[in-house]
Amino acid sequence: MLTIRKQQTKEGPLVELSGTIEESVSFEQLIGAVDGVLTVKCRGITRINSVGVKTWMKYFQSLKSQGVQFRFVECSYSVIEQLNMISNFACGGEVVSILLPFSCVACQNEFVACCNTAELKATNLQVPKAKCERPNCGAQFDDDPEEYFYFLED
Amino acid sequence: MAEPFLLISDHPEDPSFLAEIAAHHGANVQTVPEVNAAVGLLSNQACAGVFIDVDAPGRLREFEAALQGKFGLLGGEKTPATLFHFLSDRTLAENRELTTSPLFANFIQRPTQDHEEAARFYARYLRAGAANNSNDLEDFLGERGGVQYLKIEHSDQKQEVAEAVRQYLMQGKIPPRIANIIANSVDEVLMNAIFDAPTDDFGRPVYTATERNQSRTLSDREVSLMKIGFDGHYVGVSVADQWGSLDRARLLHHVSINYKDSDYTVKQGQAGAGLGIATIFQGGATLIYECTARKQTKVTLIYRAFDNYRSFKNQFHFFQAKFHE
Repeated sequence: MLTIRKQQTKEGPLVELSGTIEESVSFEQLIGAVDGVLTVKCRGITRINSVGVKTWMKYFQSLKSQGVQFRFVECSYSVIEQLNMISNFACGGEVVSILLPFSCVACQNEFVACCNTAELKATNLQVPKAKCERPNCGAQFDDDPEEYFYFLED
Repeated sequence: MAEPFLLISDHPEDPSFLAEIAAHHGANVQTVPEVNAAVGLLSNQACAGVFIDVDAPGRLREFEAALQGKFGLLGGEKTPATLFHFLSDRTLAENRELTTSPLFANFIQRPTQDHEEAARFYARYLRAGAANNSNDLEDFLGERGGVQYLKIEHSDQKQEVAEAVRQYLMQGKIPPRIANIIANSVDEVLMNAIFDAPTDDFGRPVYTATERNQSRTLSDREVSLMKIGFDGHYVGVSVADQWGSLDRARLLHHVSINYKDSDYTVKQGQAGAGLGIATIFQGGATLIYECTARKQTKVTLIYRAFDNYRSFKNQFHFFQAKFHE
């Protein structure tokens, strides 16, 4: 199930998606008409099934064909997985920021850090350092950087 | 002592990997320098399996030709496709030549970590297949597997079951990201059983164009049986339909789909996306399909339950497609 929170900003609507994107999701109904630049916050998207991928692409491709500008912020790993698996998953939208998964080898704690894609590109896709709140945190990036950042490569 | 395994490979790690498998299987390994010698041996003696490194350029085609020269088209009954195990460092998506070969049934993505456990796991699969000509979850999961059964009798159960699997795995201390991936795989295989498997009297799919959010009670033959278990080391899920309508060519096309470097096009007139099976295998699952024509298709997914995603993603896995008439 997908839930949505909507806000209006000066630039246009900001929608925050949380949950699963699957066959029951209708972005047309959830998001509605878009006036201005649409910002989609993807932090809470936990999984996307194959029909969800299709639904997503139909919606954002249709926005693109209408000339609507859109961008994705705080993309969760389930969104990153799709961006890496399907070359046109962003449908022409800008991926502004992504969540980086870390796990601590000392305490097994898992956490994410948000990173701007422009900053990542500026550092040649180097994983930034991150720590959890606990002392002596041994956090490691919990993915292969080459594969996780594949969609950012030119 | 069981019948020997034959190995045709130049890869430095294959002899030790296969020796481990053979040790668990109670068999010997005969390394053969090239395909003609292997085919010659096959005509004179029975063997438990032929393991072939397909990363060597041209070897697959050479093997097909040698086999055809000796036994006729497809090798005949003496050398069924299930006898051959193709080893590769490349993904299945990068092995399109293999998925279009009539000899294709078993694909082993060469292990990158913990070779010993990978060999033990594959030996378990071979042993069960040899003994029962089929694989069940119980063959992979230890005694603590606690396999549970579930009948899928309504299409709306799909998302409920996927969510229940996610919760169950997280209660078993599996990291949320991994639990989500496994839940998504359950979602995909149930979707295939509910919408892609049913056919009419002429074997034509009934629900190909039906939207996947359609809510319907499944008729007797549309009911699927799902099993799930977790023994602390491996998570296993199987889903069996009652149709046996799986098409080999379509399956092998879908499992090797790759949109990493080419655009995905949303197709009109088809309600499915055609992405599910490839996503499951690329996500780290061992994927075993067994189809008995007009009776049953069973898909089994096995994942090793790592405590971090990086190990999970790079886990040893293999793919099998077995078809019975």
